[in-house]
Amino acid sequence: MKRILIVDDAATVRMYHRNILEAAGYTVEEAVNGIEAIEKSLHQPFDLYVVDINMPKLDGYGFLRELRALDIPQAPAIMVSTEADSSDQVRAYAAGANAYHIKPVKPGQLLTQVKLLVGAAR
Amino acid sequence: MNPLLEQFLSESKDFLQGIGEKLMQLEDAPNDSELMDALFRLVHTFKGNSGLFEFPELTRVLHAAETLMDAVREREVHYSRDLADRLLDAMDFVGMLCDSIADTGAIDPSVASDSARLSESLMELVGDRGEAAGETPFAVREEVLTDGALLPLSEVPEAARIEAYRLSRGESAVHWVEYVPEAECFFQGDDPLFQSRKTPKLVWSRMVAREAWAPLAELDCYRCNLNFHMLAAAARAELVAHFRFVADQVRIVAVPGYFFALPTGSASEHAALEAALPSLRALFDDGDVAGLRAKAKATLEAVAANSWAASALRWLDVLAEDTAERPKSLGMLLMAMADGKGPDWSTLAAPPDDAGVTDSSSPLSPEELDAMVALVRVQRDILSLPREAGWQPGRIKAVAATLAGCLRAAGRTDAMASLDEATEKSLAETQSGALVAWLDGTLLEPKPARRHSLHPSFPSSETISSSPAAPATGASPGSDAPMATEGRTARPSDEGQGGPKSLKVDQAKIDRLMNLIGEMVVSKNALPYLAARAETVFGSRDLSKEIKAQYAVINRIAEEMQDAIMQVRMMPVSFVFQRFPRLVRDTSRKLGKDVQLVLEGEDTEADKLIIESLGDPLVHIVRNSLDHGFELPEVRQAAGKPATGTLLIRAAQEADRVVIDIRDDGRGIDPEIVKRKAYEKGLIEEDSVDRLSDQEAIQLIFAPGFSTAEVVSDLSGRGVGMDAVKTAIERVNGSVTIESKKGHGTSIRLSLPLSMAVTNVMIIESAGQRFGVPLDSIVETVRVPRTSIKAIKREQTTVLRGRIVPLRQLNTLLAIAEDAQVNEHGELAVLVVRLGDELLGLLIDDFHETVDIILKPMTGVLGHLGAYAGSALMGDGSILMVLNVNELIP
Repeated sequence: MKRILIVDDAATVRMYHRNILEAAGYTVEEAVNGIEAIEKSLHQPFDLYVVDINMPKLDGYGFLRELRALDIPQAPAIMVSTEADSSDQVRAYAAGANAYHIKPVKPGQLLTQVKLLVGAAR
Repeated sequence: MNPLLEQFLSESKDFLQGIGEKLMQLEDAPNDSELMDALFRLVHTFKGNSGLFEFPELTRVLHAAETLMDAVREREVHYSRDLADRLLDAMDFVGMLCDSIADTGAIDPSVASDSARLSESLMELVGDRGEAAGETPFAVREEVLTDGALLPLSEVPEAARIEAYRLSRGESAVHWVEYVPEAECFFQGDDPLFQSRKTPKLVWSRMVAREAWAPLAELDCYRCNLNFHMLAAAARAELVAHFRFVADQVRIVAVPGYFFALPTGSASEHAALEAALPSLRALFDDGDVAGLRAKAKATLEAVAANSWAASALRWLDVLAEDTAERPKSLGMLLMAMADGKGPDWSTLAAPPDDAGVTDSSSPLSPEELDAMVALVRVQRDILSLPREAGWQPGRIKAVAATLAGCLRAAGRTDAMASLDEATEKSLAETQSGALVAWLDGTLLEPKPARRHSLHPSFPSSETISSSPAAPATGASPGSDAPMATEGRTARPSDEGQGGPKSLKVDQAKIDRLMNLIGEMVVSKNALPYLAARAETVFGSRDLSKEIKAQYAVINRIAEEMQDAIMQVRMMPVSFVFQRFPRLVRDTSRKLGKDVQLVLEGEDTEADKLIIESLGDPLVHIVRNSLDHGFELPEVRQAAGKPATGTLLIRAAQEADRVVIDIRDDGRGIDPEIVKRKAYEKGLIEEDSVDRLSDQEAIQLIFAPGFSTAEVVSDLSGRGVGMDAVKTAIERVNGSVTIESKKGHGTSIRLSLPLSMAVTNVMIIESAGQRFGVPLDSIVETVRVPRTSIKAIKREQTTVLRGRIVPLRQLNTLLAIAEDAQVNEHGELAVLVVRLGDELLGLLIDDFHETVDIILKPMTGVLGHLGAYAGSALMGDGSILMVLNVNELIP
């Protein structure tokens, strides 16, 4: 069972990503900000993270930095943002992301990448 | 342009759009079978429609698309991005063809090759399916001959075979090409002979009749009855490219050289050969090739040149040229010489090692490979980022996890151990170095791309960054990839040349525009109020004046806008008229009548809704007229009328109405029969039968349930009579009148509003509320002294111009517990409205002005309130409820 954590403060975006991933058979959990995501990851690490940048309390960069500093099994993280600027991408990678998508995420692209990163769900 | 074609072109836009949309949706849900069905149906219908016209280029592509979508629907071909791309490409091409047809009425013949290429590119995907299912024998797949008996090689002249044999020892294999053109190929612009003669590096060719030739008198010279056989030394790819337009009709088989070495000829000289064999064998066993050749040549001179023996000796000489082949092929030939037949080269033919083996076992599709290359590249970039003390280990672990995922996905579990090793090392050093080295050494190692590599091999990081797509093309080796990706169709319209002259707009958009303009008209009406307030409340007369002046400007613009948008919705009546020539012709022929149709004023325009609502009533009227109106030719002549009847349909605009006359010169309506019928059906009382005037009697045919036909014919009179016509016309605020003179014909007049967008209502007041009443239903407004209102039984009535008019309190009808108010002269306001054919007086408080409003129908919870036709927003921001008079009376 591949578990994916969607970290996004916007319920619509979470639902959008959840629909894409669940349709492909992955198990999805949600967190509304970085703090909640850290708590959930500590409880049980995930196989993949799909992370928004702008969030209250702890944003995507912050979350990834915290996550990478944790002594838990590290999983790839896909960062999702509205910014197409390459400097944002570099910032994301520097913070600990392994891939970068521009919103709205194209379902086909996302699934291809997820399949590469964690394997097919079924 | 022919209307059918016009219709097809207009529909084709919808089809193309629909197909595009469905493909896009399928991209997100590639297993949605409903979507696939829908897509197939679209393509199928589109193709069917295109078949109505002579556009083979168009139909060909659509046909291929249909076949492909059928295969996808049947799950025989998997939906892929590539498939969608090809389909979209093909649809772009179709769109371009449609544009070209719309512009010039024809298709430029130069696009035939594009058409063939695109349909081939689609069929290629289907072809794979056929290969898997073993259905299509002629798919251009890679074939290598393993059994000489499968091809009629012995029929090829020896000289040609020797040449082929020699060539096959060179760089490229010699191919047997079998081209079986479609029987109808000449109509698709194919020239099979030319095509076969132009085969690259042609060694030999022949034509054979597919079926025995028919006697000359019966021969259909437009059907191709020829098959073409060729030997060509060109590379397979070259041949495939050459025959790409007829790929489905061509079979290309690689022939290993020794299959050509078939001795042929008469068996006459066998004794001479047998005599020479022992010494030939001895020479062969000694490995003395030169001696063998000399002996063969010497023996050859002693035997007849056309004999099998001579042929075998010649082949011996040829085979001996090739020392590499000597041991086996020469030996086999020598053995065959002893038998006098053979040799069976099949035993020599190794099982085809790699030919035709597709890379199906690769776990990744080209798209996935692309994505993976990009991902791996990013990981390398991440590792090269400045070191971050706090989370460097986490970063390395995450990168390692990412790379491990990629390895698993690519099926390269072999590299897993070394990855773990490198990761451990990097972690120990908290430096990315080891992992980077591993990445460069293992995953990004520049490997020579093996042709059938099961694993994606990554070029060096430099090449990756410059061309991330490189491994993708390398991953589909052996197929005809270069052709599939060759040239996308460029649509000239993309370059902005000759854009469309008409624009097809969703009705909803126009309606929205309409509503917005309606709202603007209404809010503009607030300005006079403002002007009045400026004067009365703020005491500024000048400001009031300026507002009024500005109002005049805005008013004019708003009105023009409204007019402009109305124009957009306008359609010519020819839209409904165009079906009548055919209808009249077919129907009158069926009835044995002779009727000439005259159409006038076809370009008269009215609102789309009006035009559309006109169709069915008109058909009904015309059918009625043909069925009951016109007499048979003999009857007409006996009555002194021309044998040919004339049916006139004329449209014209009169003020703000469209008037349509349908006039025939048939037998007319007999008022006596109408009266009798109406009486029999209980539509009128016995005493009124004599009282009704002829014209009044004729109006009875509009009564519900009235049908004068003695026999119910299959054309009209199915129980829906003229009342249906009347209802339909009245629904769009139109009216129907009929005039008929027995023996001279009938004339029906439909009068319809030009547009339904604006409703003219009168504002009335009752119980302190304002209501609107459509002007169409108002007959008159009168003030009646209270004393003139009489009660007949329990009904209140009054007499207007000698007619008794029943009266009702509007308040009562609207369940308002108040009586209508009398004015200072003791009079009641009576709004006389038409209720079907009857008049009704509504007792109200007062009349006000009439206004043009944009009527918005009642929706939602209020939708069932039949008493209201809708509501409208007034200039002062209030809401006016508009009454539906016909529904007021329960």
